[in-house]
Amino acid sequence: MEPIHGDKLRGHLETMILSTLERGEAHGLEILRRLEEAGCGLLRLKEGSLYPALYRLEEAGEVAAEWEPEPHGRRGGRRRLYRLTDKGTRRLAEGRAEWQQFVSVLGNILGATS
Amino acid sequence: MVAVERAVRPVQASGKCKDRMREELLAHLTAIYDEEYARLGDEAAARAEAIRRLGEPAALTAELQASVPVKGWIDYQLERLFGWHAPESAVRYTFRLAVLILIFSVVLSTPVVLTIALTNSDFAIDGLTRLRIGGTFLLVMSIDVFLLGLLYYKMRDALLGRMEVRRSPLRATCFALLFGLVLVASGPAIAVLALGAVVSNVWLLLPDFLVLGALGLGFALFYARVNGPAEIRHTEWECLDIGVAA
Repeated sequence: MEPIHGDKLRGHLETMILSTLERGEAHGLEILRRLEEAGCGLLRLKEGSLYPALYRLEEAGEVAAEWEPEPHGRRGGRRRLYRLTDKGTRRLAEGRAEWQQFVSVLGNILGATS
Repeated sequence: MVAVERAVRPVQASGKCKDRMREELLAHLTAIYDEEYARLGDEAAARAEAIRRLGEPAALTAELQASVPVKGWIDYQLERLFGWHAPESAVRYTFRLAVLILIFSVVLSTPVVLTIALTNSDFAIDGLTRLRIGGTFLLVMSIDVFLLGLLYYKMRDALLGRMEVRRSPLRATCFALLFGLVLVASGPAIAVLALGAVVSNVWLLLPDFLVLGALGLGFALFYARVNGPAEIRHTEWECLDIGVAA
């Protein structure tokens, strides 16, 4: 199968991030790993794009974040740990419902569903 | 750091917001560099691959900009006016800030001052003297902004060390004492300049001014300890040579 690049994910990245955070709090790189794992290696994201999406989610109150205390034994800056909020959980449920509807409608048009 | 700064520097957001972007992207870039180095075993190839994975700086700048809320943009505009601009020196910055504050204070307070000065009220002093007191207060306040700001930055850098400035507890103490002295002197300076000989007993207030000076000095030291490291990190990012105009 062809890899799925960032452009095709536009509009869905934030819901996908919320979905990965259902498994528990995570920093940016861990979120990417979860996305790649769930996408069976077919997702191709410009990794920097993850952070603007996380900032938008935080601004909207759908995720909450706090800095890790210190980069223990690790080089580079501190990381921020993101977790799902109640508002984010509701938004995820809405996003899933919208996606089901989208797939159903397009499936009917394209003849991909029985 | 350069790859991160190329993406973040052009973003129109507050310094605090940009520092957060910088630190988080740097942590990410460092982690993916380590991954690539473990995979490829070559520093240059790992660096190139990590930068490629992070994304094109211009595209990332646009995405980061789109994530900045309106409040962040307003903060950015205020910082453009009142904040420090790399690579401005502490002297130049505090002087510019003092002049700006003086201009804003004069513009904002003129209607109030004129109303009070020109009103026939029960004040024991005449309108001209009231104007002189107000003017002296604004002038001393601006001089204080310049001197206290400058001494704060010198004290902070000597206390914590920064780029070419070595840590020196002795110099930090000297700057801190000067900071306190400026605060102590400000009260009597306003009284003497504004009222001249009329308040020859202003020195009776000296104990109060000493307490004010000690409190101000303590606060400045506390502030430098708490916020100094983040301020210095911000300065280092802003002064980083990224090789292209932001």
